[in-house]
Amino acid sequence: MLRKLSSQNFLIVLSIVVWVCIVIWRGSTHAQQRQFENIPEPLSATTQSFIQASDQEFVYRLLLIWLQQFDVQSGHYISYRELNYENLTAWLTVLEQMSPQSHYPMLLATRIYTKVADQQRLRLMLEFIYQQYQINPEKNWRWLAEATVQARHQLQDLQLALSFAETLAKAPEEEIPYWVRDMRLTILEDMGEFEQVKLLVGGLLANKAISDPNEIRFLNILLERLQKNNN
Amino acid sequence: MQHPVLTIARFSLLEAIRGKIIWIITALLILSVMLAFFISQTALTETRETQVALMAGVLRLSSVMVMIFFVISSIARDFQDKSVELLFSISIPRYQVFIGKFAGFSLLALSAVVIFSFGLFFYSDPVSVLIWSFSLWCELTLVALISLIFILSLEHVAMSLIASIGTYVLMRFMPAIQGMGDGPFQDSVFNQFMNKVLDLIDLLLPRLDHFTQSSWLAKGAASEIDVVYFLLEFVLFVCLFVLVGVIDLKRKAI
Repeated sequence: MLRKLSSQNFLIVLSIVVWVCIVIWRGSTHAQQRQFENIPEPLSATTQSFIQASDQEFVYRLLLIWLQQFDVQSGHYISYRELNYENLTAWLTVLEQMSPQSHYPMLLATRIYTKVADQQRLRLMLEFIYQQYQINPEKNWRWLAEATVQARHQLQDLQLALSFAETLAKAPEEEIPYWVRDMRLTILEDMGEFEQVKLLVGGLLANKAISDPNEIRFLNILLERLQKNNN
Repeated sequence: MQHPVLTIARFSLLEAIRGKIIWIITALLILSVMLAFFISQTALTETRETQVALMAGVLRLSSVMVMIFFVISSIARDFQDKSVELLFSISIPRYQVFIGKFAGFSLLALSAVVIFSFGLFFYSDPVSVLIWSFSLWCELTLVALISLIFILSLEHVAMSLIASIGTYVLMRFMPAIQGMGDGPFQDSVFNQFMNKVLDLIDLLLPRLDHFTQSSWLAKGAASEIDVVYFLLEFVLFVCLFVLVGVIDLKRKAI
């Protein structure tokens, strides 16, 4: 009995020793600096077709979370400047195609990945938002409106902001609200193009294309202000 | 006296209940809720959609695996303790034994689906949950039927598991596998032959890629066409597989 018990105890002690070895081994591997993994190239057409044949919504949500977590690796925050923005925008395009009704990829693009302190990367992301607006203006106008603000204030590229704002202003009246349409006026004003703003506002008021009284009042105030500044 | 089919079905279900399979199914639901909650905490928007889509995906895959393992282990045990021989020696037609077993497993699938639905009602609208659950029941029933045919035919646990899981993969991914055949080498004789083989297999298996979509719960996107499609596939292939199973069982020498 004693002999049996001692052999049992020996096995327990041995198990503890093995487990302690595992803990030490794990600790040593955690201590090592893991190599940073950048965002890989997006899925191939074949892999995408496998996903489509499977449960697309499930895989779509998993991929979103996976992509979103790329800036946190092994408990460390990675700067967005280190991320491969070409692959990132390609991934966001794939995700946008997978679930066209969802706003998640556009939210990531506009509110997360435009917070990068690198002009080239920021331009890439703004270009992605612009492309997605062209594909689905009715859904993505709000994201292009935010991109316009970011181009104006973060990138300080008034020409780019103006081109986005003019694209938005061309959208059918029922698709986007007036405040989005008016963005080009404020950007032109920022650029010092007061005469052009006056012409645009005057034209809008004269051809009676606007029916909303609040919008008419806003445009009248803007026109008065510009005329006062001019005098 | 109860009909033999009902008796066999009842005992199959009882075996599942006594084998604590219902607890495993409940544990799956709890685990999927926890997993979906944990992952969806990182979601910046569309949290409910993320949560329900992840839950639905995990529940679907895990319940299919549980069903395959349970059916195969249950029949394998019947072979081991000679219950199959006992059933075949008494004056019950073999087709009734097959249908009884199948009905029992189908009832087990129904129990699993009912348990899952209770959890899902908190995350999605009732109509979407009902459609998704009904589709999952159809899928689990088909999977149980295929596993039953394989284990009765092969009488070998490992081989039946591989065959059942392999068939399930084919049923889920057949369009993608067929799509691979349309690659740059599509004009080669071998490729054309393989495409014909795949087309033939496609006609022999239900298209599970149209069943139990998470988007039905996340977006309430199930259309009438979706429901009619999976329902028709289910009815037609259950008839085909039951016939195949019964023919195979009748030919079997025990």
